[in-house]
Formats: sequence, structure tokens, C-alpha cells
Amino acid sequence: MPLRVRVCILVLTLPLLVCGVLDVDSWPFSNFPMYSAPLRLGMATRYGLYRIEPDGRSREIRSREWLWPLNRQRLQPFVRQRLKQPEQLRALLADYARRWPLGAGQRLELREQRVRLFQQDDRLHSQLFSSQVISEVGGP
Amino acid sequence: MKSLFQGSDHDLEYCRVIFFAWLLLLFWSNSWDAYGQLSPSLYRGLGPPPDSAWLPALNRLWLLSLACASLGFLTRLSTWLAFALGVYLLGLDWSFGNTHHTHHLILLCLAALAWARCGQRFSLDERLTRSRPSWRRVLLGESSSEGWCVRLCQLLWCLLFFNAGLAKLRHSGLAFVDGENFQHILLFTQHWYEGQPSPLRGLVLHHAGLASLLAACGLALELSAPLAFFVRTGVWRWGLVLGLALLQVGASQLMHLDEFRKMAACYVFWIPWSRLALAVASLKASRSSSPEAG
Repeated sequence: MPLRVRVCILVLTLPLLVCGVLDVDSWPFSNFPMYSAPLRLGMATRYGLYRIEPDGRSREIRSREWLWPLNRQRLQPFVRQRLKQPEQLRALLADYARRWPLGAGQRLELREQRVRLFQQDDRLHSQLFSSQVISEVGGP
Repeated sequence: MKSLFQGSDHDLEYCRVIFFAWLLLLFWSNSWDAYGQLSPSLYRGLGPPPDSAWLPALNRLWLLSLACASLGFLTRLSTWLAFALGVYLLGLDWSFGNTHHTHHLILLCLAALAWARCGQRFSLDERLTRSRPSWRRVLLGESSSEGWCVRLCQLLWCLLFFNAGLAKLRHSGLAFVDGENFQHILLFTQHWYEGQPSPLRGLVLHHAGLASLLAACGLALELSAPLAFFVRTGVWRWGLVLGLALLQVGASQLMHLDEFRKMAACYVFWIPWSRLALAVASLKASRSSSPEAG
């Protein structure tokens, strides 16, 4: 087997094996950890993006199109990884506000919430216990 | 090692034509242009942050390289271009913090195909070199057996599933196969993606035993995926490959995941194309030599 082939096999398989053994997830090699961590009902911390109207009413933004390139699920690790980089969170909100312009007095809030997750009628529901704004843009 | 990676050159050529054509169709309507409008401060990837000025051109160049690689035109250049641009374009989601695992295997297979001299047969390059033999060295490289590439893509496919199984064992242990965990996965994915509930999902949510059985089967299949590489023929190999394909189809139905549609291109490396072509040819021959045909 030519050296060229051996090198190719090693370059592609070895990092993949190492990622699996050492539990490393990094493009383009990965440990492929999809849904490997246990998901439990009960108390949990979640992050949500809210649009606040001038009169104080708030509505969670769920649309995939709106949240692109993230979605509700992928917003969670994104925020968790950047909690110590508030400028990154603010940049994300500013980016959303630029692509989906806010009206006068409207603002976007990224909230960290303590919720109790429970099942009812084959669906997941959440009961809010506490909520704090960790980043925001817009508004007066 | 040599015998482990011994594959058919003909299979590789069939795989090249189909794999690149499949990717071309898959990504034809997929525009990366919107990434150029995202804030560069969010970018954490390889190379420069995408810019609306040149991203559409890069997108078109990538599609062109996929088309050329499928046709076998300037194959060595086009396969490397498809890989190099793929690292950047397919990695854009990651670079902006959207961590998903749909494109990894596609990219690794692109790398393997770029490394192999996969344009030696069934290619426009080969036709060109018939009339101009002096171009052969530049266009096709030295003639060699390149069937190893198909085997390498199979191995990468196996390692992907094995790593996924290993991660489940590491992070959840055997709790992964208690039905409750799988039921929670269904609840959470329904909540995140707001997909239409299916009757099968309702069935799994109401029967912990069924949820447990499905989770255990999935985990067992993922951990035994490498067997499909080492067992080269027979029921075990096909059982594993089809089982894992079914796992992905099931996941896409139950959990509203889109991975299978995109990863499906990588299944072409498991199909014994040359044997299939021989079987079709012999079927045709037997039909034409049968008395009815005369």
C-alpha cells in the first residue's frame, strides 16, 4: 500500500478515533454526542429570546427563520458557551435586531430562566420560577 | 492493513459519479449567501469571515466543482476544490455557533475522494487522455489501484456511529436505554422543533418498554457499526448497514431531525456497484439469449 494511501487513512481516521475516545467535538472531527446527555424533567435552566413591546408585553421568539443560524435548541449551548463573553451575546442580539428591525420602543431580551419542565398531554410544558435578563438591545 | 482496505476500483468510480451528483442536487438550492450578512464578530471559524461580496461566487464555484468531480472533468483539481471549499462552506454553521453534526461525514468522504485518484475510469478526463495520451499524467496521475478509498469511506461511516454510541455510554451510561430517557428525547425534540406529532411517537410515549427497546437497539447498532467494516459479506454486514439506515429514518420521523436526508449520500459507498452492474448485464444477456427474445 503506497505511503500516500497510508497517510490519508491515518489523517482521516486517527483524529476521528481520538475525538471519540477523548470526547472532543470539533469541526470537522467529532465524538458525535447528539442526544447522548440524559434529558430529564424537573428543574432546569433555559435561555430564551423575547421581544418586548413598548407597553411591556413580551413574547418569546420561537421561529427557526427568525433565530437562524441558531434555533431554540441550539440557542442553549450557544449562550451557555458565551456566558462569560457578554459582548458576544450582545452581538447576537444586535445581529437579530439588524436583520429583523425593531419598532419604536421595542427591544430584544435574552433571558436566563429557571423552569420546571413537566409532561402533559404528550407535550413538554414549563412552569417559570425565575427569570433574569442577561443581554438586551433596543428600547428607549 | 492492505487486505482490509482492498476495494474495487470500479465501485469507486460509480461512487464518485453518484456521490458528487447527489451532493450537487442536495446543495443546489442551498444558498450560503445569508451568512455574509451576519456580524463578523460572531464568526469563530477557519479562514476569513464570510462577506456578501464574494460568498455567492464561492458558493457557485463549489457547485461547479461538485459537477466537474461527478463528470470526471479535471477530476484531481475539482475533487480537491470540492473538499477545500466544503471545509469552509459546510463549516459555516459551526463557525457561527450552530453546532450540528450533519456535514461531518460528507466532508470526510470529500477528503478521501480528493486524496484518491478517482477519475481514472468513467470520466471525461479518461476520454480526453485517450486522444491525448501526453495529458494522462497531469489529468489522471499514475495508474494505480484506488479501491481503498471506498473502504476508507465505509470505515469513516462506521467510526461516526461508533463514536455516537460511545458518547451515549459515556454521558448517560445504561440509563440511556431506560425507556424514560428516550421518551424525554421525544418530548424535548417535539418542543424545540414544534413538529407534527406522529402516531408512532404517541405509541412510544405511552409504552416505556417500547421506548427502552428502541433505545437499546439503537445503541447496540451504533456500537457494533465497526463490524460492518470488518465483516465484508453476508447478513451481518447488510443487517448493520440497513439497521443504521433505519435508525436514521426512524430518528427523522420521531425526532424531526433532518440528518438522514443529508447523510444519505454517504450510503453509496456501501453498495457493491460493480457487482450490481454485472448482475444487470447478465440479466440482460440471459433475456436476449432466451427463446422468447429470439
